[in-house]
Amino acid sequence: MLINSTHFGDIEIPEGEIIAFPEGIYGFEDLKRWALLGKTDEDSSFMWLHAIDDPKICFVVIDPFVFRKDYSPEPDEGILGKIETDNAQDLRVLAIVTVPEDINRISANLKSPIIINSAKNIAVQMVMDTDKYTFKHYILDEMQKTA
Amino acid sequence: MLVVMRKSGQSLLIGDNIEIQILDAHPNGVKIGISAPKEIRILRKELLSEAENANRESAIAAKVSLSELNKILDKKTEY
Repeated sequence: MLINSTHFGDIEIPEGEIIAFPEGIYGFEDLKRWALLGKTDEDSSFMWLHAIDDPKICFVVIDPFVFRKDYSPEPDEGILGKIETDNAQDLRVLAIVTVPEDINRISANLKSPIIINSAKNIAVQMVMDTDKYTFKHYILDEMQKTA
Repeated sequence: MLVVMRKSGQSLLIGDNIEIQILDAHPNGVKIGISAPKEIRILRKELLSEAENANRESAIAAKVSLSELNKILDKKTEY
């Protein structure tokens, strides 16, 4: 599958690496196929989540446990049903990152994480109705808090 | 939109397996109980629009590279 990415030029995505989002992502409900890019660099905490069907749409995502070891999104049965698993070992959690002009103010959305069934490459974005997490956690601040 | 008058303790059924019950009604708020199958997403509407807005803001393509981002993380962890 070839994406003619606005950001990275032509990228070839192997079919097996396409992640299905049956419900899309909030605000981007029409985009049902995405791919993670940049994971070959093992030292990287960040990756790109790129839409297959829109060459312009791309998020920076992070493994939230890198800066919040206590993060516990707890997807319920409804969410697990949507991604066709009941095995916690298959789950991979990613947080969408906002990168403002002042790069030191990068933040991650811990209130609506991406939950991936990595065995089947099906994913969903869940929204947690809790005060514990917000849409903007400043990553560098939180790292200092726990350091 | 269907408009129905209900009192505290009364219910509404939607389809075969969704029940919405008015538990308590006050001038400044109504307490609602919902019974629905687990696969039905129930969400306060404002939370949904906040999630959409958060995503739209994040999708605005920042001109950064992942290595730049990793660098600032590394700087922090050196403390």
